[in-house]
Amino acid sequence: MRTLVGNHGWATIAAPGNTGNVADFLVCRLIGSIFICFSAILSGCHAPLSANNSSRVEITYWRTLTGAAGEGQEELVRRFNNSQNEIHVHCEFQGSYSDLAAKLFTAAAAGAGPDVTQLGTFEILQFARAGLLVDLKPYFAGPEAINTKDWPGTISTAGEVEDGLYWLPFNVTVPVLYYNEDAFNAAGLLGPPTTWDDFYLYARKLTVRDDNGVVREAGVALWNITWPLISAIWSEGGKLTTRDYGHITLDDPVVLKVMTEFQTLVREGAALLPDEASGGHRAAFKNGRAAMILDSPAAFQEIFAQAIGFTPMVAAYPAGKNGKVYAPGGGGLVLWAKNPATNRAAAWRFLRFMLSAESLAYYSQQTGYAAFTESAQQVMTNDLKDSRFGVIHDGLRFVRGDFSINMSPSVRNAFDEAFQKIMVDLADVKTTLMEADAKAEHAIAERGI
Amino acid sequence: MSGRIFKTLPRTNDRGTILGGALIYGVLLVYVALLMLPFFWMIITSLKPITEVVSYPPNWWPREFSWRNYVEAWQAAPFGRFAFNSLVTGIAATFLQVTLALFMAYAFAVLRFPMKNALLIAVLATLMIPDEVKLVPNYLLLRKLGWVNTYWALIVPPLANAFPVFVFHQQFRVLPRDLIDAGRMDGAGHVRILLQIVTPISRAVVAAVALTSFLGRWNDYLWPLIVTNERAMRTLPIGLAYLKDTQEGGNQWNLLMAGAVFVMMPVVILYGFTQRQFVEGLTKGALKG
Repeated sequence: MRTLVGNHGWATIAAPGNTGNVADFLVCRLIGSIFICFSAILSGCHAPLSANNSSRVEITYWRTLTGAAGEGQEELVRRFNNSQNEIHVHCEFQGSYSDLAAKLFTAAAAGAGPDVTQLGTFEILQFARAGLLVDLKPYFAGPEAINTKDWPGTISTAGEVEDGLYWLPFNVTVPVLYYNEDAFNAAGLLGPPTTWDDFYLYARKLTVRDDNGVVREAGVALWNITWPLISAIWSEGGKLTTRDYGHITLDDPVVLKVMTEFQTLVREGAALLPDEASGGHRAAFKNGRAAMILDSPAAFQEIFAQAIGFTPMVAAYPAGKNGKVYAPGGGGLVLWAKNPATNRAAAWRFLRFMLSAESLAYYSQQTGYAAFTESAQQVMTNDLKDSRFGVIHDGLRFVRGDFSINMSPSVRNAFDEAFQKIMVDLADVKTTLMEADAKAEHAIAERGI
Repeated sequence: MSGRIFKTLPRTNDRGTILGGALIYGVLLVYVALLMLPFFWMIITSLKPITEVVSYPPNWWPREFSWRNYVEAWQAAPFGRFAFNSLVTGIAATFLQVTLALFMAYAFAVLRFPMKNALLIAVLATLMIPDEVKLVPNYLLLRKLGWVNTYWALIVPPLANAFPVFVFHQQFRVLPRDLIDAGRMDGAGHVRILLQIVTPISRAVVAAVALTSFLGRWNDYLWPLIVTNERAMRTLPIGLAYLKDTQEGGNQWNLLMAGAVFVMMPVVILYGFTQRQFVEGLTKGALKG
């Protein structure tokens, strides 16, 4: 046995019978035994393997969202697996949208990944350009195509990148307005605002101040993201960017007007911008600190179950000079390109199942997300008799299939930063938007995305 | 710690000294209250119905105690399995990390061999590499080894951690050389000297490093999320994610806080048992000389 000893650099051979080195030898064996025991224990404790039918194709589906929105997906996967024997889907939760994206990035670097995955809007462009997503257009020309004739507005084109289609909507949202009916009655307002001009006016009328002029209840609480404002800008005829990000117009006069209107509400105290730590805009609405919020149908159950001491209502998003033009939100489904053709074919069949009328109707009933196709709405006719669901689903026809700033990290970051400066720091709107526009154009020119 | 400060004050009836002591205690109490506030808020929120969680102004004490939050949070995901995984991987990774670090630190501090300093610097230099940078290379390696979705993936990569080596090395290099020489003269080999002489007299530092290492594994979120796919392999921090994002941007804060309480509780209990060694280990260097 060699040991490293004292003053002579490299080792000397331990003399036989040296008790210290015999003890070392025994201790080393003991430690080695512990390692082996660990190995044995750990080898026996891995994830259970599912029963495998050799002719069956096993595919993986990565999902996000929890609660009803997560359980609804698990149930749909169970239904798919029970409906046939050729394909078995493993549904795996991967955290929030951003966690899922981080995991997909890592898997992509390793040449791995799921067969189907839920995906938010932020990563579509990056993943598609990196060749990680399957172009779904050929599937629409094939024998197992999905019928998109009853899909609303131009939503089927939302996932288009250049000449391909890489993303299909699943848990879709359109913007809606929630309002406090009691506060409206107290302010003498008979119904929700139908235009953006009315919205700004109502926000001021609904703001309640005490004798010292301090705001006790604001007209509106704003979400700390830019998505709700995109629909306002589009409805008023404004443009933020072209689909290919070749022409960015964050300083468009309409963008300037809309941002100025909202900033003025904030300056006057008619609009709150609560931080997430205090529960955000939804908490401000639910506890009566604000009379309106601009949000998505995904908040539907939460709002109606948790509103404290007042009657919440949901209304269509206001219209502008160009009528109603709504920005889609939520998540969709994509196929991962790096997997074998048999898996991709199986994944497409699963994707068709998820987008069937029955699946979309079931998911909508469980979660509040819109059943966005007419055939799905026919399945859930009884639910749509509830005027609140009716309002949400009626808005679908105004969806523009364009994720606008949200697909490009450069443009999204520049606009988000401008939003914070304008609403939180109350910076000059025109200067801030011009700077944001220049920043986005520079980043696009440099990185192309 | 406060007791130590109080003992250093002269025992006298001098009014100024008493006022000074009271002031020190007052400041310390405020400091402790500030540190405890988030924990208090977490526990209080975990016991409120959701309507009270969002009420304004906030209630500092629940009007109605909703113990059911704990049941609902526990049932939202297989937390029993997650706790088992966290314990197994936490204990195994801590044991192996501390063992390896003890041997490495001993070699660097006591033995002589070529390029010792260069190797030590190379090991310590890995402290400068952020974990995020190692994410993809580690994942690639584990995938090639077929370790994704196994306990190996949760235990082995964190073992390559230079921080415990650094701490043990700092401890071992100031130990009297005579101790080791005496052991050698009595016929002990280096392993025996390390395990029967050096480690016992460094037990406070070992306990502090072990606790820090265990906490690191217990709280780790991103790495277990990346290298596991199935529920059966997930750990407690990922379990908390099952209580988040119930809708786009929506959270059931009371359930989330209930989950945070039962994820945190084992660590608080562990800290209670090892507090003395932990504090002693952390302050050992400061008290020397």
